[in-house]
Amino acid sequence: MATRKKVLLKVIILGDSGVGKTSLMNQYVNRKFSNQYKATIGADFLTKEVTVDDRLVTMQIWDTAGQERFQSLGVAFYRGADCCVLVFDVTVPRSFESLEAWRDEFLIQASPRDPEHFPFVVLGNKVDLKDNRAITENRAKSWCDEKGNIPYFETSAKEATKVETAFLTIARAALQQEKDEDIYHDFKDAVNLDDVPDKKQDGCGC
Amino acid sequence: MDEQELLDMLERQNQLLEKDNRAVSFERTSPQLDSAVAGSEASKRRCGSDSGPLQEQHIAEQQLLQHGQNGPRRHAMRRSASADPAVKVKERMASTSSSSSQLQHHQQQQAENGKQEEAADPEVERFMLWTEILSNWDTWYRKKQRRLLDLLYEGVPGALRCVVWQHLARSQQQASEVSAARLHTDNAPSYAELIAQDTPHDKLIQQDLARTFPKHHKFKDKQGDGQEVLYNVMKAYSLYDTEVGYCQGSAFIVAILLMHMPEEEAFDLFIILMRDYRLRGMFKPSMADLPLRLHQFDALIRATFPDLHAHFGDLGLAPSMYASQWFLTAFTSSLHTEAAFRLFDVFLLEGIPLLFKAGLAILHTNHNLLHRHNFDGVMTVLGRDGLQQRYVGAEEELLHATKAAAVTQKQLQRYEKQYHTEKKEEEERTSELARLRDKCHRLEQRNAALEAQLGTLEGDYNKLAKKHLDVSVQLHQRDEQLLDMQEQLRRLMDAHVSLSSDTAVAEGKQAADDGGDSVVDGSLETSTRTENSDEQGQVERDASVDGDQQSGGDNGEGNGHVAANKDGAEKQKTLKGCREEENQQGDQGGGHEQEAKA
Repeated sequence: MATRKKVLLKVIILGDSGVGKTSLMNQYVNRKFSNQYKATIGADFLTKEVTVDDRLVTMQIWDTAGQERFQSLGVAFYRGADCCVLVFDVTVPRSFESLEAWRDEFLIQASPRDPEHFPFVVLGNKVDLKDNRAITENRAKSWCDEKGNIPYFETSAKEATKVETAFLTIARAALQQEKDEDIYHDFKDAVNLDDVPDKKQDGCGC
Repeated sequence: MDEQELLDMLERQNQLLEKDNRAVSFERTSPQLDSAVAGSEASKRRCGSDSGPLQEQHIAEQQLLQHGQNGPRRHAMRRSASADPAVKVKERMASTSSSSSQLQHHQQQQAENGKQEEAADPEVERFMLWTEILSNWDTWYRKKQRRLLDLLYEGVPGALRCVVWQHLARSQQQASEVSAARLHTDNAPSYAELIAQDTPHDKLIQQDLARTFPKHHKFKDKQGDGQEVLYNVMKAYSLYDTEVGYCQGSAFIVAILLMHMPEEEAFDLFIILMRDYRLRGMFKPSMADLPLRLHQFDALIRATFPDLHAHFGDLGLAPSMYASQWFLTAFTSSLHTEAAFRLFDVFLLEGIPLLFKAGLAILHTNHNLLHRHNFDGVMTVLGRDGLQQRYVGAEEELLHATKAAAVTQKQLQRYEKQYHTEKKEEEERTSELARLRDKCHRLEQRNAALEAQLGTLEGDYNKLAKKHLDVSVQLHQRDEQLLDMQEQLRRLMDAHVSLSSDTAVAEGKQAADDGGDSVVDGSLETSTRTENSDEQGQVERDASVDGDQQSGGDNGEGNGHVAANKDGAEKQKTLKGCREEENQQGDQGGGHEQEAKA
């Protein structure tokens, strides 16, 4: 593991249309906000190199279209994801209610090896719009707790609130997932060796 | 076009103009074309139906687009009163020919005044040619389509774009088998009726208004008319085609139309694009045609640029990662507007194949760069805004490469077939997998149930085995006891026999003394039989021995042996007791056995 080369972490951002996925990604990668983003059609991606716990990693962040019918198109880049970021707009209850569907759809399509422990991070975006707030922090948190203690952050892509912190957690979660995958591969090899005599035994049994 | 042809055409247009007896006004001094067309009364009349600001907006926008070269926006502003497409086309043609005749007239005047300038401004020439094409549209479309296509690749004058696009679309619509009958049927609600209704897609449509060409002057302001008309058209379409409703991406195409024509005309044209140009399949809720297009495109890349295809394959880069927006917005969101317009000119004649050609052209014109880049690099070139500035001022490069790209219908059909076959196989595999998974799941459940049952049974078995062991041990002990008792019995028997024989001897002696021997015989006989008899018989015979002894006692004979007889009786009694005990134990043993059986 010590000899491992550059780590590439693949992160997918999902959530309803207009919750601020593109803005969050751009705020994190380019440290800027614009209200002139085009609607994301299909998919888009940006990369950023970051140091996580003394390790240099490249984050490949995939931004997606938020309309429901685009969900089925994800397959090609969902696979091999190390972390999935679910975004909702704290001023739009429906976008919060959709989180479950986004999560389920992701698990179906990405089909990670261990869906129970696949890392998600939830971001409640647009907290700068205090007057229009519809989803409380507690409500969001309790949903995250229910779903296996998903880390939750209240962000504002516009004002760069908690964006950096949130993405650091995302990077850590992705890195952990990546490590687990490695361990799994090592483990799998070990198991394979054991498998061979087993099979032979089976053969003798017949 | 040679000079003679041009002169002939000018002559014809002049005659037409005189016949129409239309006034030509010169509203603007420069450029020449502007003034030539701007005065058309027919144009003015039709424009009357549009709002003033919209009209101004169109003009301003057109000027911007054309960099002031020409801009008779009002062509685009015409609003046909008739719903019948054929009538509309005719009206447009008439109007076009009238305006073109004015143009020709003006041109001729200029030519006369300017002593036949060597060569007319190429833009002017192009404009003239296109007006001619529009006035003889059917001929051009049916008989000179090849040349028409070449001219479309060279670009349509911005001022005529609206009319040319509409002509192309109508012709496509007429040629299309699916269409016309269903468009503008009596039942279909009018545009005005549609925009008066509420759409279930309202929120998403509204949300995307500011995100469709957010930097374009027409659409960037929330208060601007661009967003308003875009909203109207998207809303009307979502109600007109409830199956599709609203799909992200389509607004870019509508916006491109709205940059050239008023909302209702854009709506009509969009319907044709969706249905007759087969864009609709990409926007349906399943978006089924998008993966098809991406598959076809991937196959085309493999056929056209095998090296690039291999490179992309190595990088794990699929067309779905960069080309979805190319197809969903017909390149309108990926390129700067002028390049998008130019491609759209051709798209309206070539249809879907043009999208593939343009895609290949983009790969071709960036080939070296793409070859050198890694995943990130390729995505930066081809991704969201990577191509926005790439063809600014280089539109010809793109159009040239697009024209040169070889994409045949046959190829596309073959890839489509291939896609459906692969998809079917994939679906079969998926359903087979699902079936097997289901089966596996059911077997696992059954297995679990059986294992549970087995567990219970094993528990029962263990209990029984333990009981069995206990019983066996008990039995074994009883067997040993029995053996002991048999041994005891045997010894008692022996004692009894010896006792009996002693008695017999003694009685024999007594009989010999007394002269009678019948009783002795009987006793002796009894004791001899006893040795081989069963237990029950023995008991009976024991009783008889007692009786003998008693009778012996009653007789009062052989008194010398009475004590010995008594001793024998004692022994017999003990033996009897043992037997009873044994019987009892035997019963108990039987009981155990019965239990074990249960």
